[in-house]
Amino acid sequence: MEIGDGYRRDGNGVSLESGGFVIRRRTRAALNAIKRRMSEQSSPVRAVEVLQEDATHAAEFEEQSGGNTRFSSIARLAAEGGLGEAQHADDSSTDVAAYAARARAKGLELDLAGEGMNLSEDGASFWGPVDNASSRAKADGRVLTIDQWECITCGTCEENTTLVFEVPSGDKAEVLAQDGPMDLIQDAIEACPVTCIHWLGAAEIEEHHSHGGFDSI
Amino acid sequence: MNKHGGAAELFVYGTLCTGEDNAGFLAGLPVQEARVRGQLFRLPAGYPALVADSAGSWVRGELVTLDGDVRLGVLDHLEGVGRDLFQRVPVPVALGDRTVVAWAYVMDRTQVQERTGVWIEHGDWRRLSAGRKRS
Repeated sequence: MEIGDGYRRDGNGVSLESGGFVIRRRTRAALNAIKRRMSEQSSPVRAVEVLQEDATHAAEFEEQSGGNTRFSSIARLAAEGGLGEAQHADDSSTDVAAYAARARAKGLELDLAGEGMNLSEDGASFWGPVDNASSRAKADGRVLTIDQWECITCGTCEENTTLVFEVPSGDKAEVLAQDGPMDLIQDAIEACPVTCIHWLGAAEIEEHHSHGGFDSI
Repeated sequence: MNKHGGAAELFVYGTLCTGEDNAGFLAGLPVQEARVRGQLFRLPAGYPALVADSAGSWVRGELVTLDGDVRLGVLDHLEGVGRDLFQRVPVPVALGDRTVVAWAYVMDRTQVQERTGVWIEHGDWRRLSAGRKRS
């Protein structure tokens, strides 16, 4: 029912209609409650989970209230289940979902295999889920190394994945682990400006090679 | 540091500040008062935009220390990176007498003009939004 000056009262509370712009006070309050609950969480990831729990409402509320379009776009994405992927796109997890999210974030359409040892169509084995030079080298029993003589401490490898590479402050980059995201390891190898990251056969490893996670020389 | 990272800190000056509308996306992270050189504009959509400019005046905000738990992909989506809204760029941030380099979501001057942004001379969005919330 009209209650003057463009205000209406209906089942959703009091609304103001002017120029196609509708403000529903009750929905605005509900939306603010979601935002408040998000800000009370212990971490951003938890906060996004709160948003996901109530995403359909959040997207609806936000659109009805005509408010911050940035929030409504992220709430819509959450409602469609797409935020889980965004949460994964910039981490270095090794689960298949994380590999898939990173591939999509790069615009790649990858056929992902299962985790662990796989056989490719050309008969080579690779350490799944991605088939690339690194996962093939790992499947061949090669060891991930950084040549400490060549390394210039630029930090590029660490930017690709901190699970596998570390640059101790002011020192040469080190390999932390032999297991890790094979896509990001391959990115790091290709991005290294002095090409000092190599998969070596165990017999080729020398003292100036960092080879964390590999002990049996 | 992470895949899209480099800087492990983020300068925020608008709806991502403590107590503001989108603070939840940075819930639980340590923040400190900080400022950058540039101009702050209020956009009709209801949020501010920073134009970084080393010759500009001070824009006040907060420096957020990111940890492994922060997903810049989520923030990039919120800020419309790649959708002609904000760009995430490294900017020099003043912390007392110290300067650090941190990420910030900024616009360029043309974008702000196209969106008819109004200059916030005092450079502090929180002052503006506190006033608005009281009224």
